[in-house]
Amino acid sequence: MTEQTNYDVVIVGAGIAGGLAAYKLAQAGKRVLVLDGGPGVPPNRGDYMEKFYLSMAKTPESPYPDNDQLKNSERAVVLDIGSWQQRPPTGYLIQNGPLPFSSSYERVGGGTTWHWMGTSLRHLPNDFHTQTTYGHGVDWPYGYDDLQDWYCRAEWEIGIAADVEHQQYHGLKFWNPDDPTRQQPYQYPMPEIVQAYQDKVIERRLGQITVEGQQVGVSPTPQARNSIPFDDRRVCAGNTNCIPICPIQAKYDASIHLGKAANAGAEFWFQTVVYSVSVDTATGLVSGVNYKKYQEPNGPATETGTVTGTVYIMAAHAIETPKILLNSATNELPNGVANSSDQVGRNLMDHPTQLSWALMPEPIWPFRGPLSTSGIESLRDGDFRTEHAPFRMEIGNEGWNWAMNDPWGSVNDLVAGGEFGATLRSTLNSLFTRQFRFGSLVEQMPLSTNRIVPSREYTDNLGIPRPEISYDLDPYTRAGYAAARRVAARLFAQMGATDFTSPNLGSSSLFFYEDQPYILNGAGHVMGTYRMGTDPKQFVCDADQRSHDHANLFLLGSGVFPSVGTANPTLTIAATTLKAVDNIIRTVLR
Amino acid sequence: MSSNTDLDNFVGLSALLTGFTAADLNPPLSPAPVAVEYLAYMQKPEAKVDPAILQRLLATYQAIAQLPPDQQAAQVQAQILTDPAMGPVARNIIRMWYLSIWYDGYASGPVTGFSSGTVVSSNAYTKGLAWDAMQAHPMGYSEMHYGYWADPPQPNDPADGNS
Repeated sequence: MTEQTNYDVVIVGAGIAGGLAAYKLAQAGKRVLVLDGGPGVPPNRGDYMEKFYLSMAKTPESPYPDNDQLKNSERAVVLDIGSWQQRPPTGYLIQNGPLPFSSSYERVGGGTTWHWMGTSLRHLPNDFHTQTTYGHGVDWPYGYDDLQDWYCRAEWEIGIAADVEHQQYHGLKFWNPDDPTRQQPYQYPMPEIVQAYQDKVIERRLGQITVEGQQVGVSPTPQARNSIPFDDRRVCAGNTNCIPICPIQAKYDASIHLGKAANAGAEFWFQTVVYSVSVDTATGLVSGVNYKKYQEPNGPATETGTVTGTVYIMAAHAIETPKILLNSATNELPNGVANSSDQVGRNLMDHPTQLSWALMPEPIWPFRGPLSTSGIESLRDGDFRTEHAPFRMEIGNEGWNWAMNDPWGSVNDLVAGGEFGATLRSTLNSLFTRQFRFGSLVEQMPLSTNRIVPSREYTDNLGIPRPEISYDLDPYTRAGYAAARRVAARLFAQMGATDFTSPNLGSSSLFFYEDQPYILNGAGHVMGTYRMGTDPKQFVCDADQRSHDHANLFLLGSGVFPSVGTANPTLTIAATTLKAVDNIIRTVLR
Repeated sequence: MSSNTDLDNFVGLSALLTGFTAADLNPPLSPAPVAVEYLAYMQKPEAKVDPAILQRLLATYQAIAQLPPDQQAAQVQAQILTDPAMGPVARNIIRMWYLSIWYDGYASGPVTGFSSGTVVSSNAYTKGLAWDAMQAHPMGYSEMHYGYWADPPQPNDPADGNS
């Protein structure tokens, strides 16, 4: 055992939350150490690109080390979802069902932002008090106005391309964060990304249409990709590959802030897997985090130790963070660390994503440009939220790639059906150029039984318990999923498109609502599990993201979201992180 | 035409199978001709192609190539695609050109988009014909510039949309 001391802040996790926190804290002159279980950021992304090109299945994880190449830092991968019921488990997660948790994440330097889409919507004002307004979900301990300034700062840190005039729906207001009167206008750091040709066709074909009491409109999406050179990075070249990897880093990923943090003096230990947190029972303060280091990706631990500091920050995402806290149970703290509420690991949420796909009556030429440049935000809020969950409709720019594994699916189907030569080519052209899909991201309600615990049965290569997950969708969320399907079908009809959506009844992700079958898809949004709120009996941390139990322990990331709205979580992760870290600098470590 | 090399015959056959021209498939000045890679891959043991069947395939094509152009496709259908030995190899060649993948087990069972196989090379991935057929570019390999996606693409073929 070795012991390292004297850090002002010890951060567990080198993703966007840990990276932003390390940067801001190091910039403020604090001595910062960041621990991450995976390898560091490679010197260039060429090896990741080569692995992507050569992968048979271009999954979100395909560019990054496979689990059997990196056993000491395994993670959830989408190819394991289909076999979630098998025992022994085929993947890293142990899934108890009744539905599979269907989102994945990365455990490498930079974290899951390597393969995020870049969509950077703000939560809506009503998303912060859904219980009060609609009788569903859980209110946040603060409102939109309290986070607005931090959204602005996050948008400038990350680099978001959007025009304010197109984002003022559902009561979203923007103002200059440096103006206490909230009167001065705000500008995103870059002009909005040019919308795809297909978005304009869709807008024209939809015309004026009202569904679920909402007038439907197509909005350009705020995106973390460069429309002009920004932060020494290039302009988007439309590689249509934001997930799984941007070849030219025109899309933001957290390696940017890892670099900035290192330049500001933060220290990084990669290949260092934190497995528990220790607490001084006399003071109630966290006294250290315990880790195992390895040299070889599949080799044994080469060092076991503890690091200590003044403040501790958990930023290992909403599955690994609760795993570590719960794995820290002792005789004095039998529920684990930060868990007097018994809420750590509970209320795991995603944005279950309803896919509907169709053929348009005219070519729209998808597979060109960023993976999505527009969305229908009209159903993210409305009186219907008393009845069913809201959703945002992402306008996919990759034909039936997600929906039907194209181009691989259709080429094989047509060749197997005997087509060849000029007919094959023209059939494929007619098909691929008219393919379209909606991906509707539904707000999932928290359930205390949707839970991650450290497995008692299965451990990883280093002997650390693996995450064991129970997961289901509540009726209100299912009703939202059904509404998303209903609305997509209505919009296809309005556009004159031919609906090809068909749930695979043999899928292990099948579920029913009012006797209709649906397929569960994950959005890659891992949320809940250490939620913030004022009542220590119901919530894990307070509005400052400080543990209710341990005054020097802070929790970052989408795990703190009390309820999850319909905005992709990363921008809100960044905004809440900047807000929490600012408080740490001003009041905790001053 | 008896001086045709195996590569000439492979490219000519591939043109009839894929609907692209021989010049599309094997541009004269290409620094990294994927046709050469594909033929070489088929001759490797891991491709599990009987060399005698490959030779018969190329020889059958060479004979078909002597026919008037408007009869050639029908003869590819009649002589090659319906042949129990050559048909599965020919269909796998189509898949390889479109998707850059040599699929395992092509001769024994149905191949789908989820079947196992090998991406021949990263060079091959960036030259898959599926991307040309859709008038786009390989996902993850754009040679275009910012904003190109706001307008319809140029047609690659008279049969394409927008032509």
